[in-house]
Amino acid sequence: MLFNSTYLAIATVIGIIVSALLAFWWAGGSGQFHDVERGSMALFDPDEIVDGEIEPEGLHDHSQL
Amino acid sequence: MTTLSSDPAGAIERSREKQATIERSREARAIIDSTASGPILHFFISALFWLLAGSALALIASIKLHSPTFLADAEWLNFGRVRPAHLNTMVYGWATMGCIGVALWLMSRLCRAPLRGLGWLHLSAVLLNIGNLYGTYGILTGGSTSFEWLEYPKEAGLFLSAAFIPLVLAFIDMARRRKPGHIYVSQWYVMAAIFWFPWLYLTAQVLLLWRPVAAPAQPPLNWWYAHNALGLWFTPVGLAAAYYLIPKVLGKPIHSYYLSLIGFWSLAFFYAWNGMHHLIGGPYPAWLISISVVASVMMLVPVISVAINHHFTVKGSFAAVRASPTLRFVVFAAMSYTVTSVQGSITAFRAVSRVTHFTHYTVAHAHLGMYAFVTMMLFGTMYYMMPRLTGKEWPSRWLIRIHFWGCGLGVLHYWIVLSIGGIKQGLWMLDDSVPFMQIVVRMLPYLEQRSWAGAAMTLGHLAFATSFVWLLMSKPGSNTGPTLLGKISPGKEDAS
Repeated sequence: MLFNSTYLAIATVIGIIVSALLAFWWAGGSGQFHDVERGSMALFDPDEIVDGEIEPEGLHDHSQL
Repeated sequence: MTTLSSDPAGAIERSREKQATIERSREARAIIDSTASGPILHFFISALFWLLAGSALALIASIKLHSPTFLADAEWLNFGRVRPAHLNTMVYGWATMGCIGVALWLMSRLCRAPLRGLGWLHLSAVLLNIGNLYGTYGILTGGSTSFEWLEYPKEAGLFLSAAFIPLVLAFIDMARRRKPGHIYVSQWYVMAAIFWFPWLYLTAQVLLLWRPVAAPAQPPLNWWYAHNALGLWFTPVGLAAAYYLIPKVLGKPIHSYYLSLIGFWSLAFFYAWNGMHHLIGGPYPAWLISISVVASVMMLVPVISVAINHHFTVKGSFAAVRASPTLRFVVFAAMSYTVTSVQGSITAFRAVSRVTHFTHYTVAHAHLGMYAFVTMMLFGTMYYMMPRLTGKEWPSRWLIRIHFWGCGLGVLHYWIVLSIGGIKQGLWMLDDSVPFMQIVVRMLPYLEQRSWAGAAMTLGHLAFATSFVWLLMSKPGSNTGPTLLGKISPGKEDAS
């Protein structure tokens, strides 16, 4: 019965929205929306220059390996 | 300077500490990349095989549209089989396996957690290859399910579904071991995609193929899946790669991190409803279609936020875009994402869809999304990853140029020709005075141009495959300098 119902299809759409809400709630609670400067820098390692200058070594250089 | 003069010993000590940090970071990255290289190369080599197979199937399908006698004596190569075989090999062979390789590497790097359970990841790649081989064989021998984007026989879905079990566990494992406390936006996209896609795929498999829902509910389910596979699987991985590579290669942070978060969360909330706009004019409740049209227009929020962010991050660094193979492909892909998304929002309107539905316009739009955005993003990411995974540089800048211009011009030509042809086709079909066969004849020049465009893209793929195999076969250290396509002035941004 359950599988032959369109409600299951709608439930899975709602499920995605609910899971997104839960993830959003968790992100807020764990401070992901605070100190966004740190967030934007999270992909850089401590040795990388990120002051707006183009870093030639950033292009396909083995020094980044 | 004051510090140096007042405390020279302290300055030297700090300099040594910084040098030690640099060395530790490089070693950590090298360990992450070398650990990941086995499984990721397995995914990439498989993806490349499916790209070439899918290109051959695409060319055959395209030529048949204007020269129907081409290969007409081979029943397993008739249009009704070759076309879905092309679509599915590209979606589950090329794009899915490429995206998995990219997602694994991005997650491992951003979590600073080397991959574990490598044997399981190899098993995942093997299962995906078996599923794709079985599925393609099934379609070419007449076993297509007829559900768009899900044409592989249902048994192939078992292999594809099983392949995601070790993958999901690997991503959870990396997330749990992540070192930086802050989750970068690329990680949000990747983690979401790796959960969304198996959910979408399993739901569609079960409700359409194993325990089918009532017939009227099947098209909405089909389009819910097909549209979301693009928007909640390939799109997040593509955007994750863009958000990683653009700042990383340029050496500057993303323009606005707030905007990037708005882009992610609005995609998560609005995209799931979009698929129903494919059913405009169908026998479905008005509210179902209307919600989808509204959600499609709401997609302008994530799209514009991503476009603003990428544009202002790249602004002032266009010399680097010309010089870097990675950035060329990634920026092309990011611009295509904006165009295809805005086009999608416009096409979702009933008045527009009335003309464009059931025409080549939709095919052009789909290629702008899956090719100009997703595939070009995968190419760009591979140009960045491969030297780091193998310790070897790309061997020929000319092959990269042929690849970029073949694929770039090919897909633009494809999109422009079929969009114009599709709109004309739609207007003629709405005109009672134009006989249907006349429309078929009038479309032939557009379809011939489509084949030429496809040939240009295939030429690009062959150049990339040659480059890829050449890189794998070359000896380490044979090409020590970075393979760039132009010169940039160190430490200087361009005037633009």
